[in-house]
Amino acid sequence: MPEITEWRDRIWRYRLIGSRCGGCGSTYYPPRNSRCLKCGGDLEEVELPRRGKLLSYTVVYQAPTLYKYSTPYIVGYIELLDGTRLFAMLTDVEPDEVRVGMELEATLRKLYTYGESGHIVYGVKFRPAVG
Amino acid sequence: MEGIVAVGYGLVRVGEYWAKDIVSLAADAASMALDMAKQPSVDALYVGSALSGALGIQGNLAIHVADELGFADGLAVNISAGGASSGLAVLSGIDRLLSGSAEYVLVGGVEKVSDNLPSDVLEAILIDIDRRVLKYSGLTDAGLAAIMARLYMEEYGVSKEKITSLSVLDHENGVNNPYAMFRRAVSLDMAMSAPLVADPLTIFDVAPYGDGAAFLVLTTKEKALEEGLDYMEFLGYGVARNRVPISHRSNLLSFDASAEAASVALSRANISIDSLRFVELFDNFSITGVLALEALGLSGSGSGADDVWSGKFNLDRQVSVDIMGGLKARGHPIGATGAYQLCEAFMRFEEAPRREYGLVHMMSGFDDQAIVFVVGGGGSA
Ligand SMILES: [Zn+2]
Repeated sequence: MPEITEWRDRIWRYRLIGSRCGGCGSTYYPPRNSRCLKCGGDLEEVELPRRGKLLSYTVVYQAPTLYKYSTPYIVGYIELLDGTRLFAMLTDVEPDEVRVGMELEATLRKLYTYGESGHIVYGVKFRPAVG
Repeated sequence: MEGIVAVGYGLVRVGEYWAKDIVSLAADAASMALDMAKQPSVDALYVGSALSGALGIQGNLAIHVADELGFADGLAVNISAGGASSGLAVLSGIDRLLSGSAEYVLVGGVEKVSDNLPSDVLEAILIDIDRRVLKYSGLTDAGLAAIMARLYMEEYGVSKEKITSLSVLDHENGVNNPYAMFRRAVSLDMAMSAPLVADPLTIFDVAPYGDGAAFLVLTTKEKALEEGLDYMEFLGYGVARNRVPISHRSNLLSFDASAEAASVALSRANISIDSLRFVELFDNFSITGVLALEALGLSGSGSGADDVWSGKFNLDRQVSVDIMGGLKARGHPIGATGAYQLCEAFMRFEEAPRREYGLVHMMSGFDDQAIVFVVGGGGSA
């Protein structure tokens, strides 16, 4: 049952929780359980800012089984306001409207559904920021 | 590092083997290597395979290959480390010989991807690279490479055509490789206008996955000379890891592990990068090949694509890259690819009229774990 892993990861995935270093302030997403990579300092869980800008992106045409009904879809490389970098799907935007540098905000959306169990997995996607 | 050589290589052409199972595919390549080495008694077997367990094809593969080959005793070790699987198998075999625990080892890799649906293979590959980052973002391996390509183009003002020119070079060189999946040249126009896999990368920027098996017989140089066997010498190796998950890296375009592995390998071999005749890149994507060129020290940051475009690494130049077609033309049987690269280096040395050196670069994921071997030819002279 791979679905137990989605359940275990649900909190950080839903609420955009990362790790912040008490020593140097570096942040990580997904969260790390161990020490800071830069200074070896202790890490604490932190809710990350929900806004950021797009550094790079792609439009995926060949997808793995769980996403095969979603193609083509956009995945962005995003830098949040505090400097944390992450990868997430973009939503509410068409491929020809996407621009490097555009402002984005996080939103909770459906990611995929398991065929046999019908189990729906949710997670954070990013959409163009409003205001 | 001194005194370890390969005395046999064996491989099958990368492709789709509907009628062969994974064990017999491995045995075909291994038997060819053993024949070339004049059927030595093998003390240890190391088999790399990235996905045979994950795809439910055959777990604990090495004991099945050992049995198929009729090995009555000796170690049989399975190594699953993505694209680095067979490289780590070779490295483990070298260490076994250096420790004095073995006289001959058989090392290599095998992958079978045609038994499963392409979308299921892709899912297994993504989980193999990093489940948390790739699965929840919908990112694919090609998608991640595409994001790197766009970053590279923005950062250095380089055109997509220049990045893709590495794929054109691969196909040009692959024509000479009898074991290559694709033995035909392609034009840049054709590569650029092909269907998109992950924008801006087309199918010609992505090395094709395929079934394959490649093995080498290793022993000491002393033994090879005693038996009068032709050999390829391992002059140095280096291994290093980059940060995972990849979102924790400060610079996606810097393949630090490949740089470190190359620097260690060259210094152990006591060879400068200028004295290399050829370099085999682990170019699972055109952009990762370009980034590897820069990490290995053959091009400056941001000039790798320009250098390939200008013909600096063509076959007739001082340092040639991907002389047997690279991953794009030879094909990419993931856990066996590193062993193919080394077999091809051996093939090159068999034809070379004088002693020369080559560098072979391998990695899992995107520089997650990099291995570099410096090898030299020269036969039994
Ligand atoms: Zn820190």
